[in-house]
Amino acid sequence: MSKSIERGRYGCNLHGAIQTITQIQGVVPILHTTPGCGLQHDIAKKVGSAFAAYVQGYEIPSSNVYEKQVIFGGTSRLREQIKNTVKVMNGDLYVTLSGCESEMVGDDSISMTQEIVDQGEKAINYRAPGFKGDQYIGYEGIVSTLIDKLPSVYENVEEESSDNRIKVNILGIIPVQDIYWQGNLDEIQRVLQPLGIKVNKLLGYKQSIDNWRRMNTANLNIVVSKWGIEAAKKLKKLYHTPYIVVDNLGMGPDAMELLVDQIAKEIPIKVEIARDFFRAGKERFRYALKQITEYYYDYDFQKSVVIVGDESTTIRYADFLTRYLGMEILAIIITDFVGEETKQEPSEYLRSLAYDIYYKKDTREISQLIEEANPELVLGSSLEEEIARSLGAYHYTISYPAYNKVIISSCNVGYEGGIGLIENLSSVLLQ
Amino acid sequence: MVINMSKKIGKHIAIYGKGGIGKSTTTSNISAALAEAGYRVIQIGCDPKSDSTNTLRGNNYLPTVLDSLREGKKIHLEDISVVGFKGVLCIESGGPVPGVGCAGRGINAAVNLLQELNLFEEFKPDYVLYDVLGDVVCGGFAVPIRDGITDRAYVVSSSDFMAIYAANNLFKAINKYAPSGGAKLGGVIGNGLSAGYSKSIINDFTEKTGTKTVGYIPRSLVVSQSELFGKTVIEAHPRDPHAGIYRNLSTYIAESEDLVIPNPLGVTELKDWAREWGDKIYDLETGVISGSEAI
Repeated sequence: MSKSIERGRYGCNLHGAIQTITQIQGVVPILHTTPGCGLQHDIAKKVGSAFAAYVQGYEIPSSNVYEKQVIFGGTSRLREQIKNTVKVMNGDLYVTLSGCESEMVGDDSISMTQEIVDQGEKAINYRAPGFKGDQYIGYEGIVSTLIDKLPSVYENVEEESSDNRIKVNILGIIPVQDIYWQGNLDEIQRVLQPLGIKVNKLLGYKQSIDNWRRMNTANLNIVVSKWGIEAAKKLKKLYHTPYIVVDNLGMGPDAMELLVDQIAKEIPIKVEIARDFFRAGKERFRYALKQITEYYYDYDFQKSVVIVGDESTTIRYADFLTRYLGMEILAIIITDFVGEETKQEPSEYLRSLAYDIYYKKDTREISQLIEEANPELVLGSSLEEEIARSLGAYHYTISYPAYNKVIISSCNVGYEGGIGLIENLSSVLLQ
Repeated sequence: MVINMSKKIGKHIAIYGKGGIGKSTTTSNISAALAEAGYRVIQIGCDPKSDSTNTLRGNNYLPTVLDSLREGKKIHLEDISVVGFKGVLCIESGGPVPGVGCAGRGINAAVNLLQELNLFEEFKPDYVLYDVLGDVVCGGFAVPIRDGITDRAYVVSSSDFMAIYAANNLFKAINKYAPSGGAKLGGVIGNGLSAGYSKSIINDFTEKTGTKTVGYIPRSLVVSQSELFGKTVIEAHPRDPHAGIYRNLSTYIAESEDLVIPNPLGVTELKDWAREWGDKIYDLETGVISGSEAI
């Protein structure tokens, strides 16, 4: 039976598409929606640490259709919007995104986009009605669309033959939804670089259409959340690129070594060459851990915990907190899933991390579950702060939405993520 | 948009039915008959084809409400209405060109605009007839029977299965909206009836759905001929028996307060019912059983 969701934590398909493509330099979205769709995204992205984008907020062009376009069709309004946008905004790629109303009335945004392609502009379209799903679906959809359609407007880039490095694309990190997305991409790059791996981050600082045109040259696609699997499958079909799905893109030395082992099974990397790097990473991590030992015992860091967030994020924290800090994970509440919450099947690995695994999107129900578990520490979004406070539990923000928090280079993966968490969580527990 | 029923001026009647079944012809003749009887009548065509009121205004040009809305200029009532036969005020909602936009929303917007223009306060009608297109395919086409715009609906149907199917769909819509203030059903108007068993089929359907047939209009050349002249039967052939049928129907619609919430048949139920009639008609045509025994 259908029911309402109280204080949901997601935007829609359209928002997923916007927040993804605006993190690619040179990409200009053109919205074919009613007024407000783009603006809502702008408000929402601020609590997801996506403060800067190539085109953002009020700058995002929108056809702002109203009743007249709904009744009579809005294609001519879209045509006008595209023509004017191309005149005033420089873009390496224009992406028309059609929202709910234009999809409901069947506006032909494909032909409208084709018109400027015929005039020599680089443009593609993505159907982004919000009713098709949430931001995760939007990320999945726009990434698939870029993979499919980019070669029709741009030739794929051939790598320089002198560059012998192994190349990988990182798939499944969603700007905004992963509040540490920028730092996480950087940390993955930092960890894999010493192995002779060239990481194609695709999104964020200095990532442009060229990075996307280069996707076909990858030796391996690394999928770090379930939302990257579709894209990896597509790339395998199109370019025969193998891919790995990393169950736990974790924090700390063990997770990093597991990641590298998993990569080594697919592509010939010499793990030995990175031995020094791993050793240094491990030593530095231990040194960091040592610095909180006194607090650990004095303040009894062995807390009982409930973790709320996206599947990949919650796994990361559950593994780290039990492995390095000896915490007890009472429950994991996963908030990114498709379909009915009662029909979700957690993996065996996930089950091994906590006593209880729940799938919930409703903030009130999530609060009730936390109340029942009665933990000493809640790791979740800002929406869980209230219930944590009422239970007298500590609260630490790890997932979207994150109010009053600016995250630019911090991460929650790798060595740096582990050390950062030790530092930040200790500060919370000392209060 | 919710209209306060106590303030509603005149009786507001929606006429539905499958495309091509004769809704506009029937509605226009009812309007003409009511006007002839001295009532103030408005007929609003709710169809992108915008030909509902043709026979009331001699096929003269009439800009539609939505055409005016598209142009974006300030709209006055006189721009979108024309006075036709015996003072019937004719209005066409119009709609988008086929294949684009949303006609359902168009009807909604047109009716909204008419409210804003104080149409009913200005014209003070006794009767307002809404001639609504074809099948109730989506929410937009149910607007006239929702939100208290009309308080009663009639459905025009022949004895053909597809027409009855469309009628049954409308019953579903009424059934859904009536409990929350939507229109109730006045009844079914049998139109274009030729075969001997046509009446029996319609009567059986109305009986099964807890409704009733309020008029039977046989197929007639007079109707077609009047239309070709751009006139209603009431105007072109006022003494023809057909004009009498329309007058009786309009009197019934004007006076009757017998409104019901129909019980539509389920998909399988409707198919089984149709199959049963198919067998009966086949037997009748092939002479297995005599006519009166068969029906």
